[in-house]
Amino acid sequence: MTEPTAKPAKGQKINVRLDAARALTRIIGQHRTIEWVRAERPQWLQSPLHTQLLYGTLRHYLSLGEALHRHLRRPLKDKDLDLYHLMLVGTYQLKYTAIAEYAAISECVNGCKALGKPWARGLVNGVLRTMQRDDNWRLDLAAVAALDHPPWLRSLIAKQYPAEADDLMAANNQRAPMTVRVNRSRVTPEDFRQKLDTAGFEYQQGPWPEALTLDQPQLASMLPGWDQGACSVQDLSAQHAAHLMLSALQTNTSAPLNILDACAAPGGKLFHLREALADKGVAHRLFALDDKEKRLQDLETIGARLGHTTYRYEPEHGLTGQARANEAIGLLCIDGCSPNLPFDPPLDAILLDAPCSGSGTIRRNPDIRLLITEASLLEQQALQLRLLQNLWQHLVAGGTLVYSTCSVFAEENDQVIHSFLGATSDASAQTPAQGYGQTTKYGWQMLPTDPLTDGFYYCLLRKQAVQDGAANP
Amino acid sequence: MPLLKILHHPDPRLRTKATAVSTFDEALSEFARNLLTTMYAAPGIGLAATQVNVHKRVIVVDISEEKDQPHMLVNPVLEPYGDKIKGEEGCLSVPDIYDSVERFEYVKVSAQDVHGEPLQFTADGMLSICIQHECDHLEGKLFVDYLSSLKRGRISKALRERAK
Repeated sequence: MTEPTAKPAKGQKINVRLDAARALTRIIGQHRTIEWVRAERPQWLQSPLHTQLLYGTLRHYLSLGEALHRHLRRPLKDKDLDLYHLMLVGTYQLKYTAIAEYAAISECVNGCKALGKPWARGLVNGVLRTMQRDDNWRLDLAAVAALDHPPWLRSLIAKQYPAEADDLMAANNQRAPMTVRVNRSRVTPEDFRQKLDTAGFEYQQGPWPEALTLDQPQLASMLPGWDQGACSVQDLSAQHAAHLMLSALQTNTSAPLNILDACAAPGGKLFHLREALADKGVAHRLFALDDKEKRLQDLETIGARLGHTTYRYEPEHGLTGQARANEAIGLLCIDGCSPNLPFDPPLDAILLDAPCSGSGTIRRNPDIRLLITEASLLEQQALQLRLLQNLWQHLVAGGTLVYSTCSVFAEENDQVIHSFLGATSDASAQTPAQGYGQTTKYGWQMLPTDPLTDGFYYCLLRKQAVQDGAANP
Repeated sequence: MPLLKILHHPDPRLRTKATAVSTFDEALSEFARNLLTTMYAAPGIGLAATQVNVHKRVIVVDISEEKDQPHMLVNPVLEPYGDKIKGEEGCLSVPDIYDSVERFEYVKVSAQDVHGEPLQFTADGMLSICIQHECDHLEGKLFVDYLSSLKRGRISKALRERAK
């Protein structure tokens, strides 16, 4: 038998609601991520409507689910999760979009057939039509962002941010701003701003010349000079990494500084660091690790667009053997926790943008709130600590490590630093706070409620100059 | 491993009734694997031995998107139950023709695996439809047989002309 959806006939149409329901079923039923969908099922995110329906339904998954449950005479069986999601996508459209309601409903009804469940057409039609006629549930759903967070997440936010909890959850339901980083190796910020002006984009100037936040998010490829690598898209919070690193570097030495980005892919902070170091004329060699080969390849592609050459670092040639200072970036596919990191002599500075829950980017990645758990925060914490302790051994005495996560929870931030300092005698922490966000015991916490930033955490760790150099491998 | 050749309607060999498998040896396992590879390559979601001119009661089915949940069923016996539902079907032996066919919503499947071990499960939705469709092949039956004689005639003619 062939798949009925393989039907090539004239009647074949893309059913956006069905695609969204299928993506949801992968994410919720199989714990996939939006990132997985984008990589493995790009056809489910092929149009702006696809993105809107998937992101929107994920964002309001829990509150819409409650409304839907009240209109189902009895709950659907587990194996009908796909149908449930089809109805949820319908419910999302009735509440949050201006799409004509009859169209939204009939497309959902049509989706049943492609799911191999034509018997459900009447059910889907009946439930959605009832919800269309009933306005009460729509009024009930008026902007209670807390309902869109699972209870454990709600209470953790309330515990760690008692004063800001409601604002924080409201911010998690907003659309994220889009900030552009001008590639100063390719174009001056002045010239780029002029191009934006000519093209009719409106924007705000960020704290550095290269940071520009657009008033209206755009498709990246529509930005002037995108294909020629004139700019990247990078949140303002993430752009602090390169600037913090730069401010912490001892730039008065004549030898080039060896700097490592330990979890580099997809390379945003790495390339920014490259652009900033070149701009300031700091002699350096950059190295970058990632434990996934595929991700390093993606990083190479992005680097090529931006004009940042890379090479595969082969440890037998030593840190200085393959590229001259200020030239190509050395890439290595290895886990930052590996006991055999090939960095000898030790590095002058390390950026550890640790893998984390992403709880500071929930508004950008609405799947996160449904996928993370309390246990996963602690798993991340253990990994973050392992990375930190392992990399520390490869840092020169007097060197700096910038630790960062895009999490808002202390479990992945201050608690990691606390455990680390407790076990490491030659480390001291310095909070790099500036202007907004919150100063924590060890670091600096930005929140999505801050103007224009995601939730993000930074801590500067400095290695004391010890005489015996015992920590070096 | 060469792909097997799939017969096309109105080939009379598609009307052969398959006989039960009694020897569960390496040759049977290999045939079932070939059948599955041929199905994936087609691409299809189900294939019966009859369709590759082997008249033994063997079918393979995999409706998963990842193509990672294959069923290889030997000597399948079906007990369909529940409501009749209508769904669109297509067939590797009736290329590019799709039409709506009534099937039972659920089916209880008793069969053997390629080593002769008995297995039993219940299927619904697309899996149920697909298993019913493949088991029909073992009886020499095609999904077009469920359509009106007018449609059937039109399809046979179209396929015969295409084969010329």
